[in-house]
Amino acid sequence: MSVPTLTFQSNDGVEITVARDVAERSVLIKNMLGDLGDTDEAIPIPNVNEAVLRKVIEWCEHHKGDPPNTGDDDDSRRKTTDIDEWDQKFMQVDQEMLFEIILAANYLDIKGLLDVGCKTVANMIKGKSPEEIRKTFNIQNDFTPEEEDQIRRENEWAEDR
Amino acid sequence: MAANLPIELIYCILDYLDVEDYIAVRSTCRKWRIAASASSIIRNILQQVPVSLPPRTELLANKEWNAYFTQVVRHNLLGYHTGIQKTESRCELPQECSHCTIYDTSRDGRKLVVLKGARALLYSRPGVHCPWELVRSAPLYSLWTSVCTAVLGGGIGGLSQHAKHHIALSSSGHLLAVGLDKTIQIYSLLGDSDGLSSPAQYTLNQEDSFVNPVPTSYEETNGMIESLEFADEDDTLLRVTIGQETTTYQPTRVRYLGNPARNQTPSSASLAYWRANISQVYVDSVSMAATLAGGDGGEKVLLRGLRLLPRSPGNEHCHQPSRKFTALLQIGTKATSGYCIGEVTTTPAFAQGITITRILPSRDNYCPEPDNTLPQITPFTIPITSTSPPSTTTSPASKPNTTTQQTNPTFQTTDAHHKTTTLHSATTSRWNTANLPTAAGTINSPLVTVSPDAKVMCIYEPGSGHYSRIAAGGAVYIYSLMHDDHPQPSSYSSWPHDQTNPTQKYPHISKTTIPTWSLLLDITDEDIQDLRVDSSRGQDEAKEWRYAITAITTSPRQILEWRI
Repeated sequence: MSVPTLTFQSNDGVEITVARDVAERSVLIKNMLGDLGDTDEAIPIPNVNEAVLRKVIEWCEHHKGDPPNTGDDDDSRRKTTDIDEWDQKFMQVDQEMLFEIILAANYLDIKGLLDVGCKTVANMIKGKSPEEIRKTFNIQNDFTPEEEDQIRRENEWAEDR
Repeated sequence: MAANLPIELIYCILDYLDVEDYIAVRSTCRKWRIAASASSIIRNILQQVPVSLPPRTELLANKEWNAYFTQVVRHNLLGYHTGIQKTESRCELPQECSHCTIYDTSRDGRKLVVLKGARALLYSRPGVHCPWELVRSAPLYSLWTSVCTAVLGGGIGGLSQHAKHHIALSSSGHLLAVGLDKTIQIYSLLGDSDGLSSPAQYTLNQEDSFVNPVPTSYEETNGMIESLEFADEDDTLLRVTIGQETTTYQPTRVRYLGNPARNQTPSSASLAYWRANISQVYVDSVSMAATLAGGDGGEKVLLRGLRLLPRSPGNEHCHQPSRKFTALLQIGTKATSGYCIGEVTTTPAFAQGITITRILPSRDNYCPEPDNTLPQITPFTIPITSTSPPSTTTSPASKPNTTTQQTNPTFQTTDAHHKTTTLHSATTSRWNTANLPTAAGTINSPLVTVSPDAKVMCIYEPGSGHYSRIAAGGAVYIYSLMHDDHPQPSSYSSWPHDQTNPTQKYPHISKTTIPTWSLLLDITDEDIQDLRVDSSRGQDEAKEWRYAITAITTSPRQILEWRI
C-alpha cells in the first residue's frame, strides 16, 4: 500500500499533496483528523499562501522523524537561542517570509517550527539598540512624547527631579 | 510586519531574549512595550538575574513588577554595554610645558596649574576645547626652602630618589597644595602678599591632631605622600594618599586633612582656613580600619582606596555629623573582601562610629547560591591555552649576555589572550564574574572615585584583567550606587531570602535584595594615575551621554575617556 496522503489547499487556491505523517507535525491537522476521520477532500488552509505552505511542508518533512514534543518544557527555562544548521539555512529567507512562517506555524500549531522562527527573530534583535531594532524590522516609533519621556527616565540612573 | 505580530507571538520571541536585549525591545514601539510589560514576561526575564523573586507571578501587581524591574536595571547598569564611547587623546598642555611637567587641573577642566621651578603658573580656558591662557604666575619661595630642608634634613637615604612633587589645584582655582616626601604645603594663588609669605604647612606624623580620638591599635604612618586632591565643593578637605608604609597596614593608606566644621565662611576654604586646620586629621583609613576591627586583636581589617562620598545635595555647606564613604574592605587573612559603602561619624572629640551598610559584589566575595534558583552566574575562568609558562631558556650555547627577556613573546601573547577573553566574557554575558572587580588581597592601591551626584562609582584595579598582576595597566569597573527611589512593596519582605551572610562576624553588613553588579568598562595597557567620573548635568552638550569617566595614564600621559 502506498503512503497515505492528504491534500492541502492554500489561500491562493493551490493544492499540495503531503504524506500524512508529515502533515501530522501540525497539531491542528492532527486533531482535526482525529475529530473528523480521514478525508479525501482538499483541506483549506485559509491563512497561508502557496509559497509559505510549501516552506512549512519542507520543514515538516525534514523534521518528521523528530521525537514528539512533550509539551512540559515550560519549567526547564533558560532557552538557548542555538539553532541547528539545517534550520538556520532553512530560515535564510526574507523578513516577510520569516514572519509568514511564524504566523503559519502558530496557526497550524507546529511548535518546533514556531520555536525556530522566534529564535531567528531573537537572534536578529541580539546586541542591537532600540533604533537599530526599529530599522531592522521597519518598526515605526509610535511613542508619544510623554511615553518617550517615561522610557528615558526608566533607563536613566540619574533622573532629574 | 514585526509590529503586527499577534501579542502571543511577541511573547514567544521575548522569551528568547536576554535582559539587555529585552530592555532595548521595550523601547522600540508601543506594541512591543505593552507585550514586554506583562508580569509573566518580566518574571521570566528576571530569572536570568541573580535577584530574589516572588515565587509566583501574581504576588506582585503588574505595576510593581515594572517598578521592580526598573530598579534592577538601575542597580546593575543594564543596557549600558552597547552605548559606551571611548576616546583617547593627549593631554592638552600649554606650549611651554613638556609632558614631564607636574601639573593638575581643576575638576571642571578649565583651570590648570603647573609647577615650574619655584613658581606656579595658573592657566585657564573658557571651554574644554579652547587653548590655555596664562592667568598668573605665583612665586613659591618657601617651597624652595622647604625642599632644601627636606633634602638636608632627610640625610642619606632619608629622601627617596624617586621623591617628586605631587600637586593639587582646588576646585575654586585659588589654592595649590604641594606635597613632597612627608611634607604638604598649601599656597594661595590669588597673588596676595599674604599667600606668598607663609603657606599652610603640615608634615606627616609630626603634628597630627585627630578630629576624633584614634583607637588604641592605631599605628601612625611612616610612608610618603603619593597623591593629593582637594575634596568637597568648598575645598575644605584635602585627600592624601600615602604609600611605601611599612606598618602593619602597609603599604598604602588614605587620609583626609581639614575640619569642614570650622569653615566659618559660606564660600570656599581660604588659606586662613587651611593655616588653622591643615594638621587636623578628619579621617584616616588606618584609624577607621582599626575601629572596625575592634580592640580584641581579632582579624585584621584593611581599608584601601578610601574615599568620602560627596555630601548629599542641599547640605553642602552645613556640617553633617557623619559622612558616607567607600573603600575596598579586606577582612582577615582569607580576605572576605569587596568594595563597601559605609558611614563614619565625625562628631569632634567622640570616638568614631563606623557602619558598613553595603558590600558590593566582587569576584572574591560572590558565593554562588547553594540552591539553583538563581541561575546564570558564570564564574570567570581563563581557558588555559597551550602556551607554556614563560621560561627563560638561556642555553649556554647561545650568545652570552643577550637580553632576550625584554620582550617575551610568549608572555605577550598570553596577556593579549587573557585580556580579550576577559573583555569578551564580560560583554557577552552580563552575569559573568568577569564583570566584577577582584577585590583580592593583593590589590593595595585601587583607585576609587565617585560621580558628583554620588550615583556612579568607578574603580581602577591595577593588574586586574591582565595575565600577570604586575603588568602595567589594569581594569576599570563601574558600579551603580543608586539607592532605591521606590519604596519596596510590602510583599517583598515575605519572599524567602537566603540568610547565608558571608560576613556574619559583622552583623551590621546586610545583604540587599537587589544585587548591584559592576560592569567591566575596559582593560588598559597603561597604568592609570588619576580617575574621575563626571556627570553631564548642567552642561550644554548633554543628552548623548550621562557620565564621562576620565583616566590619565602614567606614561605616556594620555587621557582616556569613556562616555556612557
